[in-house]
Amino acid sequence: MKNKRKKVERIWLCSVIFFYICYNLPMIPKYGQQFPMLLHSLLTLVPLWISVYVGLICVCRLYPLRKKEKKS
Amino acid sequence: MISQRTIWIAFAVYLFFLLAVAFYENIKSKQTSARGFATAGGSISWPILVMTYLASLMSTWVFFAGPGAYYRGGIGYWASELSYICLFPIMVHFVMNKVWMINSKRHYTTPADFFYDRFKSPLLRALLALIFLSASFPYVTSVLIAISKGAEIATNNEISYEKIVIIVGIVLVAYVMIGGLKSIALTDTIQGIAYISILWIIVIACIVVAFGGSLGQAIGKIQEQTSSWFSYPGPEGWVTYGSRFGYPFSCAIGWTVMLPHVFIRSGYSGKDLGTQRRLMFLTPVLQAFVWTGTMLIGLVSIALLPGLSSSETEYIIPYLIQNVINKSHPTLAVILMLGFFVGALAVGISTADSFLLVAGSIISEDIVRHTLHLKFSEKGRLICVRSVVAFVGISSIFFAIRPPQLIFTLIMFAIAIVMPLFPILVLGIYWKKATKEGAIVGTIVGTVLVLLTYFVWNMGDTWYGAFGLFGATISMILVSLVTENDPEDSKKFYEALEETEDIYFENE
Repeated sequence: MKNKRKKVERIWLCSVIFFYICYNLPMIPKYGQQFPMLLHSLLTLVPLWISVYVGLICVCRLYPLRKKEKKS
Repeated sequence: MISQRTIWIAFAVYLFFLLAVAFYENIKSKQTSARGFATAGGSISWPILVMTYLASLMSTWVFFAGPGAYYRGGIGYWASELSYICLFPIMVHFVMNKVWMINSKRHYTTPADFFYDRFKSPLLRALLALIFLSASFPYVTSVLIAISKGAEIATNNEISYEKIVIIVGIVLVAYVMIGGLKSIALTDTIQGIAYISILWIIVIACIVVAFGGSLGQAIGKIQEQTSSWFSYPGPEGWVTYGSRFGYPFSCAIGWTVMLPHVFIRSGYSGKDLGTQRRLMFLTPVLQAFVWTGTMLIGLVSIALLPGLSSSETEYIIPYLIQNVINKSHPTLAVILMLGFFVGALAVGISTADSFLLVAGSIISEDIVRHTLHLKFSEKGRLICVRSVVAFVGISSIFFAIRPPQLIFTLIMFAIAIVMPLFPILVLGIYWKKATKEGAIVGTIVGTVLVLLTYFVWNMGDTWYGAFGLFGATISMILVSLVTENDPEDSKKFYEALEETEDIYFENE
């Protein structure tokens, strides 16, 4: 379970970093271009948000909370 | 546009409400400890935590400079904001939830407590206290300035700026002193709902009045007049490739988790991990909702009134109300102006109270108690923190009446100055070999790099604290590799982390 958690967390973090870098690649889109700007946002920001939330749901499922806290 | 009498009535009602909540909370909770006063002792449920986090995060920027920023920055500016807002769940899951878990066992009061528990360095604690304090104290003054300026504008300079500063400031100090974080959290919740609603009422009213409800018409007008609004770098060249990264990156780290008031909310105050999860899910959505509203006001403004100067766009909402809406709908204009004033008051106070409380606890706990080693009983600690809150609050009122340039300078890099502390936090949690010497050097190097970025290289507007963060990371790693600490120093810290993983999570 611990290994699976780490694997999913790694994939989550890497996918978010990937799309964040894609959004921030310099020279893309070129200045002054409207349609490329729209396309750039759709192809980077939308997947970024999706990857954050999909990853969050997966990670929360892998870390189920105890219904009652275990007494230490 | 609004009479003095109306403004004073609005003030009286609003400020009375704040004091009533503070008294109610004080009677209900009976504050007995400085920790409970400053952090609510980890007892805040998710609806309140989400709203107090959001309300304390946003400042008068939402109603003042924000719409003007979208006017001048364009839609690319909004896109860049969306790029960091969604990173909050990542920050919380990997960092702040760990802080929360450790805090549930170790019971911290200030952000520096966490770092001290990990590294056991009084020097590090003192440095961090000064940095966190420099990032919080000026905000109280700046909000008082903004609220009073808002009242002046709403009444066409009829109302006295100094009177507003003094009255709002005194009530702010009083209800923070009486109720602590629990009363702040409750008032923040109500204020948050109020200002978000008011913001969108203003948005919808502007679109309906100016463009018959058609956003498409507004967009069409911008295309004709200022087509650069729809591309990078925007009408005034704000969103270059560098600033598209630098500013959101600093917000993702500095603004959303490392400023001390949000550090406490996201790391200490939540009731349980279920609360932390709801914070992670809801905050980006709500933040995007607020910033989209602010963006739409900027959009409508540039469609209607292209070519405004920077100073005119700073107060674009009242400008729009007075120069556009008032001509066709004078009654609506008065209502919207009152809404603008109340909204700005709500969002401003919900930020100022948080900064005031955290500044008070940093001085009383980190500096008076731990650095100057003045010993107090538990009751004495509570009296101390309340007294310091009063002192900081009254000082803020004084500075708001005659603001020194230093206040604006400190605000300018408040987000940047806390960014170098992020790698100290992350490495402290995940790398057992990180040493206190590494943490101290990293803090100093990072801070110096931030100061150089602003005052020597003049790149603060683009890169904020990015160089400081990278410098702190590299220097902390290098120094930690050549130094060694006693593992006993961090033993209890890591034991707390391991134990809480077992306490809170099911294991298969």
